[in-house]
Amino acid sequence: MRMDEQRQYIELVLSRVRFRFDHAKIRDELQAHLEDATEWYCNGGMAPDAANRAAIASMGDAQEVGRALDRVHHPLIGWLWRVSNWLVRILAVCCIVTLLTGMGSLFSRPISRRDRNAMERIIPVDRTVEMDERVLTFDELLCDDTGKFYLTYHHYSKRWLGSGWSLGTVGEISDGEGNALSAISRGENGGWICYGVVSGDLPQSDTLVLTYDRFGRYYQIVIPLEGGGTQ
Amino acid sequence: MIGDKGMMGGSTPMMLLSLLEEKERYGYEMIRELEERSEQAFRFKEGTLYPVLHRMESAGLVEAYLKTGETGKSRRYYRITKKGRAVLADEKKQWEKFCGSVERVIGGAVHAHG
Repeated sequence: MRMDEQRQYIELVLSRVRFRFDHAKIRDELQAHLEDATEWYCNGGMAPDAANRAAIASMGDAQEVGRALDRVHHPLIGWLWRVSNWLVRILAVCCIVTLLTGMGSLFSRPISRRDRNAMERIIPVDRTVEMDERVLTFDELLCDDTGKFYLTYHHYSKRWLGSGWSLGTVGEISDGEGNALSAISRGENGGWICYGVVSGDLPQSDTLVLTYDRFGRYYQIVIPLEGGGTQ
Repeated sequence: MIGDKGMMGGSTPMMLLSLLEEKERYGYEMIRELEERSEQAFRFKEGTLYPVLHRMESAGLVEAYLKTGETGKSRRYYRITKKGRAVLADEKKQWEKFCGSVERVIGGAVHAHG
């Protein structure tokens, strides 16, 4: 009976508070207050029912309290607060995903360490070219025992936000005499540092030439096929 | 001139902030403390305390958090914030200025005829 009267009082207060998301918080606080007040009156010598009535009476008019709470817990402010909280969380998740994607690329390599160690020859290239905001470095030319080559490279953007454009082909491969060679290029985009590899059959010539001549941008890298060693 | 700062107008928020400046408290505790210290002069409709406290929380003057007391009962406690302390210091100054002005007006009649 006692709890029912307290509950009725609280529900009457809440009926005036339009932003329902805050009801639980208000309900718990008023409930705790009424329980404390009832206990206080009981300790003062009142009978439980009288203490309960006194506790409710001391709260004041439920509708008046509800209207005052409604002004503080206004639906417009409440929704703005909730939506902004959600937006912050979504933004945080996006940042974490971007961070993890970027970090993931730091550890991925087009040629595994094991495959690299199994190569017949490793020729250091270490040539860097810049195209717009992108910095592209050719690292090594790996040759396996089946007569294939693997030219490894990595690239990154000097801009903090967004790469601006994805790196497509890194150039055409030809032998020392200018004969085009068929090659397969695979690489990744989107990370902080992206890795890729161009592979094909080793030519008979002494050099391997990589030429990029597109969209008004040009570079050429000549890689001697002599030398190099195993890892 | 004693200014009125909208929500901070009236002495209730100042008294509540003063209580919270001493230690963190829950709503009912503040009601009992105010009654006791004022020797029953301040008897509130207790339910109206919460709109005031919640408004102070929205304004960043106090922070609320749930805490389980020694009796095992979970209550919403309030503690004063840095901003709350600054507002309280300002309110106290204005209150003293107000009291001084009232005293001078009351004492002024005696002074004028004295």
